[in-house]
Amino acid sequence: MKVIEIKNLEKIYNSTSVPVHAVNGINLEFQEGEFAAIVGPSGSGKTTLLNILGGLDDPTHGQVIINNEDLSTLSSSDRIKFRLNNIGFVFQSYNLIPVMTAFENVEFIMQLQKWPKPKRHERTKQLLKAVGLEERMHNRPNKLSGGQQQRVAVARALASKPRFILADEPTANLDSKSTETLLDIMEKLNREENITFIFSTHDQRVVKKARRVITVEDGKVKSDEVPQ
Amino acid sequence: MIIAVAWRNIWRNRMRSLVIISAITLGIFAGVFSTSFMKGMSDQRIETAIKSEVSHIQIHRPEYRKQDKLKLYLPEAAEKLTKIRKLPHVQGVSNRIVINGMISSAGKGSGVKLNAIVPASEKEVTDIHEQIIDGTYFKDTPKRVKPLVLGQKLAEKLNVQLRSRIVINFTNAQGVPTSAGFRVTGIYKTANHNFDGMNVYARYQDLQQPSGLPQGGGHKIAIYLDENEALSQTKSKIQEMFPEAEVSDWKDLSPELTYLNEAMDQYMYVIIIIILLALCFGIINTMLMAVLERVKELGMLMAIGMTRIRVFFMIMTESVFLSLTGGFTGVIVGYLAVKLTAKTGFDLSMYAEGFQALGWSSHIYPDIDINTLLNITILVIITGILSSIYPSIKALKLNPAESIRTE
Amino acid sequence: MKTIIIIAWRNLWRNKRRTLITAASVFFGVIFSTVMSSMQEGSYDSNVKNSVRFYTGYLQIQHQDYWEEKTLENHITYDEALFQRIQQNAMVKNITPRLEYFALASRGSATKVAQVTGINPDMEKEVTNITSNIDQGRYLEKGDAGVVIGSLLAENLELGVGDTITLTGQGYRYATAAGLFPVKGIVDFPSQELNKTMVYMALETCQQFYNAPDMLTSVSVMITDNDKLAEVQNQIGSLLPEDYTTMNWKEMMPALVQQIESDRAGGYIFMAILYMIILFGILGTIMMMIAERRRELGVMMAVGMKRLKLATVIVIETFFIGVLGAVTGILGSIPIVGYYVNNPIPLEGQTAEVMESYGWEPFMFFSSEPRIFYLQAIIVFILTVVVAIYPVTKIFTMKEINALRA
Repeated sequence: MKVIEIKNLEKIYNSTSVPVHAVNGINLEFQEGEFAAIVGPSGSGKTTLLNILGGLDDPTHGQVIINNEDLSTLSSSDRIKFRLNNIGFVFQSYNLIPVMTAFENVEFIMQLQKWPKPKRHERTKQLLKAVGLEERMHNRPNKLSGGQQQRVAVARALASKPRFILADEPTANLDSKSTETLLDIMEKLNREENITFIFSTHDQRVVKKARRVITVEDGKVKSDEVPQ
Repeated sequence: MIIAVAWRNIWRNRMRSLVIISAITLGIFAGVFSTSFMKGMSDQRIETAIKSEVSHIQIHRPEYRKQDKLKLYLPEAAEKLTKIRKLPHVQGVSNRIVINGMISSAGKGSGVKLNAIVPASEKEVTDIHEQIIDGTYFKDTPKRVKPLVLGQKLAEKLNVQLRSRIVINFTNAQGVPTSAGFRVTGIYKTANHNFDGMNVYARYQDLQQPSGLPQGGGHKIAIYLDENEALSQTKSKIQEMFPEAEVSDWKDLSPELTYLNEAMDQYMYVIIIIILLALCFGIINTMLMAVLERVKELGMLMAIGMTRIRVFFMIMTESVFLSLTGGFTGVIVGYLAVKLTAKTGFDLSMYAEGFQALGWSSHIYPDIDINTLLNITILVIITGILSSIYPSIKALKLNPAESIRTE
Repeated sequence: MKTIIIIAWRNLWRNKRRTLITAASVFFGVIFSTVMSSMQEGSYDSNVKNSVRFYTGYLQIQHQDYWEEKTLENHITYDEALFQRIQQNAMVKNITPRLEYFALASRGSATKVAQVTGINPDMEKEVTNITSNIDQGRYLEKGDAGVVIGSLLAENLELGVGDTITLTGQGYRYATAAGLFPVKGIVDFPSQELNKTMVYMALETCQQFYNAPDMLTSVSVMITDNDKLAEVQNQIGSLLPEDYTTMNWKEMMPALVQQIESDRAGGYIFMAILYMIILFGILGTIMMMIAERRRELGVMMAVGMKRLKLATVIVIETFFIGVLGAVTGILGSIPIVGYYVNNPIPLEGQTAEVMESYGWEPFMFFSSEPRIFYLQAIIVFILTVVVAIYPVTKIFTMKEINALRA
């Protein structure tokens, strides 16, 4: 089942006198349950591609169709709503609200979606259990390690039952052990829930675990492989 | 739940929040206390004016108030008294003859208003009898003495004391120049110098004949009520009873008193608003700092799906919480301060002459009502909301993509 | 030293918005306080001027017992030579001799108490500008046999120009005073009290009425400069005979002095509240500045910069914020004050009526005394000194290692 369809995507910046094609004609498709990594050096257009994919930016030309909706046609405020209901995010840092506990952070998304309390609490517990942080549910981020914070972020990303999860350099600030744990959890969730995970990463450990590697260069897809 | 986050967000930088909260507390406390001070002054002025000078309601012959002429009297004033006394809320009624004359004592003279009263009923209407500082208020008057009570200001001007002889010259109702002799038996002092200098009191029985009025006649029926709220209903009842007479309440008789009250109210709110304006700067600065240092976090919130409106609401709530915390504390401390000082009041006797020349007492008792406190709190909330607008605009202009993604 | 100042100045602009908002709060405080003071002082000046003009003059020469007992017994004598000498004093603007006493004014059966004032018409109009208040008829001439009366007195006795008013009373040494006088003119003053009672006569006519030849009850003196009051009072005093005395307006109208002082005090209290709030605002900003730069300060101290120098930089930054706000505030208030000094705000309706009942002109006057402006500058200076205590304390008690870890 197709989750994401990207057609003839172009993003042109006119800030300087010479127009810059950050994304210069990209076509991609993602299926349900994929575990894909997008790699590419700085300036390759990877960042821009991911911003557009996550609905954080809009393309100059082309379409991004998620769940039969073309993101490119949505207004800025509609996109916020769309993100809430369809996309889960795990950022490199600043994922969590510092004044809320792990439990409250995960619950927050469901509050935004107006779930009734008992259902929220139940799912929050379940998610935190799935990422192995049942013991630390009521800790604030400043009492959690970097790896634990990222795990909470994953739990939160899953909370809204999104179409896919966009993880932007999630392991960049972590040591090897935490990275290992985090990736194992994400893989497990990917298999069990059949949720699409799309990574943007430089980290080889992530690339090694990915079942599809897309390389972006000069605003175009250079290669799109399934590693052996 | 955004509300819970907002409250917790305030305390992320405790020092900074405490500074602004302290400023607001101080400002609101000052505002509450100074308005209670002024309210006390104006309430007192009105109360003493009603008690000593003007009473709640007065009845006259229609032309009398304007022309102030002796011949414009109410012929059966005394009869009306019994009827009026029966009305609910009426605490006292009295009948007076009012004569404009010239008072003199051994060579010095002054223009006065001679009020011929019946002491027993007058005591229920005015409180001059409680403000006697020398002598008595028509008590135990020896036979053949015509007693006179005058104000201290006048006594000083004429250089008279108790038992001095006084002559009052006037033209009676028939137009005949008349002279009446009295002895000073009492001296009173109110907070109003002008009043003291003008008003002297003698007995109705001593002046009824010389004035040329019929027995039972009078110029002014004064009525004191047990509560101010009964004013308009009592006034209309009385007007119904005596359609031919002019019935006026203290607001008609002393419009400057009502005006005073309203002007005070306005003045109080102007002061509060200016204090809040001064506080605005600090609140805006604080919120600006709080928002700009959370740029990444706010970007993240918008990325994961918190709408701009919700973000604005969160920031606005933080601002309101800051303001309210300071505002509440200020209001409570102010209220306590007022209650504490309300009994003893403040003695500003160094300004006594200045105040009393305008009719104000120089001993001030602060007072405040819940309504005003509520209004002040509402103004504080509005200030919090308005101060959050600029910082919120700054926050919402953020592009989540730019703020959250690090490269 | 110069480098320190430059560094301090540049540091301010590292966070432009915050600096500007803080300076803006000082600006607000200064402008508001200046305009408020200007309004207050302006109204005091005009009240004093009016009261002095119409009632007492800046100084009054009287018999030493007159103030206690205002009778004709306690009189002074008309002395042309003395008056000349007094007027030779450069600080004396003009004088006017008066004979004042009360009488009963009547017409037909109506009687009212009146205050009769015998004046030298030419000298009086120089002092009180009474001619501008003449509503009907004309002003008095020298030796005039007629009178000019107050508008309310005229109304109460139903008198118009050309009618005759009867005056009766008691003259010098209990002689009976009685006379009929034609009404030559009617005055309308801002003060209702004056309008109710005033009867002006030519001095000679008045002296005749009261059987008080050559007598005066007071000589009112106007001076050029209110600040030289005491000086002039002394100088005139030395010219006077034994049983004469001088009183200044403050002694004659203590109520007015107190009203002014209490109002001024109230204004100071309000300013204090405002500036206290502003102080907190500046303090908050400085606190944030230091908190942000903790690491940087630690580095500078570790590297060898003397704490004193560091503290000086921050103190100068604090001053700059105050100076910025104060200077712009004062500059901003000058045109506002300047405009309203020349165009006083007319008051209307109830407010105007109340003011007129007190005898004050229904306008909001402003004052442009320099004291108003530089008082604000001084206050802001003191404010910044007080605020500066915090950063200085912080810097001298800061431990480098802690700061470096920030």
